[in-house]
Amino acid sequence: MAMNHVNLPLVRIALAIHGRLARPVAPDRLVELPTSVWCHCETLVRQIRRAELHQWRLAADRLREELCHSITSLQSRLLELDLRPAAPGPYVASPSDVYHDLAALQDQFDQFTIDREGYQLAVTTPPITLAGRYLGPFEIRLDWRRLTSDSAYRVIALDPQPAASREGVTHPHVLDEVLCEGDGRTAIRQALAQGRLLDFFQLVANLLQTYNQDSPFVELALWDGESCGDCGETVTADERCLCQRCEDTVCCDCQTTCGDCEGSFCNHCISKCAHCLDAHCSRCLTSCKGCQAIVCSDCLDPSERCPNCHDQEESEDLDAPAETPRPAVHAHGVGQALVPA
Amino acid sequence: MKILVINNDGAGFANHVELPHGTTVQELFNRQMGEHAKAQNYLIRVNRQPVSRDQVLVEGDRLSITPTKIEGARR
Repeated sequence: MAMNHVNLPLVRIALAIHGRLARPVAPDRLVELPTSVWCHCETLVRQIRRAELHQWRLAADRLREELCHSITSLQSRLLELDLRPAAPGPYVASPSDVYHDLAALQDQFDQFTIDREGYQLAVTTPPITLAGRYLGPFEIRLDWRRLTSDSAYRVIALDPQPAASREGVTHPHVLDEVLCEGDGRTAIRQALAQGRLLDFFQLVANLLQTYNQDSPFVELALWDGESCGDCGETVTADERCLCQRCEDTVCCDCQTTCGDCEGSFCNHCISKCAHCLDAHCSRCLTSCKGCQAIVCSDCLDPSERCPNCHDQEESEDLDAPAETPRPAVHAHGVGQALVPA
Repeated sequence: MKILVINNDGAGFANHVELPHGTTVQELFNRQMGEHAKAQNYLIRVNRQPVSRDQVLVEGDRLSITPTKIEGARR
């Protein structure tokens, strides 16, 4: 990349972003000299001198012994100091890297904007068409204060073509401006954490250009809505009804309400009562115990017979000859008489 | 010579690697991605600019490999 001049506003942004990447030195890498042990040795030396001056030989011997232990301790503490250069940690972009990424973003995306007060960078993708479906251009907007956060960036449809069934789905992998990164998640997160801004924007833009038909929020084939299971017409979210039995999608015209439980059903899961012809779901229909006709609960009598069987039984009862009580006859000789019940 | 290699495929990493002088972009790509990886499925850039496969790398170059097709998901 030819850099003829330094873009000072871009340098300031690069420094601000790099400031968000700076990591503190790990506490275990700080060097700490054993000064307390050294001070103790100095004190012992002074005490030994004073003891020898006063010819306190026993005290001087004990102090020498203690000094010997302290010096051994001092030596081991010094040997334990690890002054080797720290092993290189994970790559993190330098201010210069961030600056060159910003300059490359200006070159490689048609639209690149910086909102310094809002701490945001944004690029605009070309209009995206997936499997013949126009989805429009998208803005990828990054908040550089939240580079390691899951909500570091948003994907905003600039010419929204949302799925008919879900208004928040503007791309098969974008819901409510949040991109589901799928296979790109680790690489995107690494790029953000390391301050590789060009890689981040390129990864997201490439992901938006790819359709994973195995795991979309809404399949592109159903982008304009689902088809009605009965008539085959396209059904939008507002017109969509679910059959409560088979969970198939049906349009408002094809859905039928059960006359008993008032649930919505498709034509395959609803039947008519054999007597009143009202629509009912299978749960609300019962077989007549007489003729086995399928009827609704309103048409069944308490003995679970349909009106036809009920009427027929009643008329049979009326046609049957009435039983005449026989007169009481005296049984001769036994003193008993037959009495009607 | 030392080159910064950024591989945005899979886990994504950035590492400095030592290479013999005269190494081309294609040779480094094969070394990083394996012989079976197809270069046309990746955006390969040196110092942030698209390059040809036979470009010879030089000390301090920054090579990035980014897949052109990355599959998103729904959760």
